[in-house]
Amino acid sequence: MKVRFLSDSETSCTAVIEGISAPFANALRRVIMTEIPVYAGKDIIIYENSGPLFDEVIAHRIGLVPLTTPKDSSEDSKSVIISVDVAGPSMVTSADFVSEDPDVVPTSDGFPIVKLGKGQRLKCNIEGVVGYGKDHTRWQPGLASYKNYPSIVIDTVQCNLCGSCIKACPRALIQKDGDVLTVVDAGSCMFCRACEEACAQSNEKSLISVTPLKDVFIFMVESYGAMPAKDLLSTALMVIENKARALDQNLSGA
Amino acid sequence: MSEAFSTDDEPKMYKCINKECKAELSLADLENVQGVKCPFCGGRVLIKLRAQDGKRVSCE
Repeated sequence: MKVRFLSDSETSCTAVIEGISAPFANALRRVIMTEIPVYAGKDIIIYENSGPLFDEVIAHRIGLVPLTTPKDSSEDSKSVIISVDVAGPSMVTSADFVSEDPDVVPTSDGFPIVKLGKGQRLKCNIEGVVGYGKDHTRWQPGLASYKNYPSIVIDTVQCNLCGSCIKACPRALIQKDGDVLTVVDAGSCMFCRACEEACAQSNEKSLISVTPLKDVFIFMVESYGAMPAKDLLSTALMVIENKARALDQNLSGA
Repeated sequence: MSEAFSTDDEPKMYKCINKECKAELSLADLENVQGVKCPFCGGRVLIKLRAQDGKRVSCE
């Protein structure tokens, strides 16, 4: 099994993973989106709300603000109280959230909640608890997707360098390098097969074949900020490992 | 503002919006007048006050 990162930042990462099956890649994708424990607002206790939005609308908006989550958090982690007390005229944003735990804070200061006019006030406490994306989207830590790595093979012996495939490729992945055609950045191929069709029209048969490799995947993870994208991958693997271990213990006890 | 009707142990649930009155009223205060109106100024528009211990709202 091989892993090669194409890009790696705090909010997103892309890796080429060799030697895994499609069911395993899909399990990893689903666990990342639904079974990683992260903090989000569960309930809010409103003491004063004289602004233009109803309590329920404000609660809904606050609940969707992603909160940073320590990597070792679990279902048993204690709840965190975040207090908000803003008097108008001003815009209430996530920058006004004052958390009792410095490790559990909004991922960005720019989430708008409500615009208060003169004499209006919002005072509330947010109860942040650990939850799972399978219960509500506010506990979803990010997005994950994958696709098969493409294999683009060009029959360079029979190719007459007509260039029709170069014009046809919407992502300009095929280039002329001297008297041969080369493929640059094959991972960007979207399997449209326009090159195959163009080649088949110009020649008797297509001299290009684009096929998905069955055990090589390009895996993309985008984090909403609760934890770094790379940590989402490792936490998801830990969740799968714990599930497998629990099943094994139950099987041996049965 | 008169305190004739008000009893301290009753929770205040309503507020008169008359700018010159702004009396906070309990249910007992309202029972002592005919109809729904402020017993102090006669104002007919009352707003409900928020409970002191806060209102719990689910983020769903």
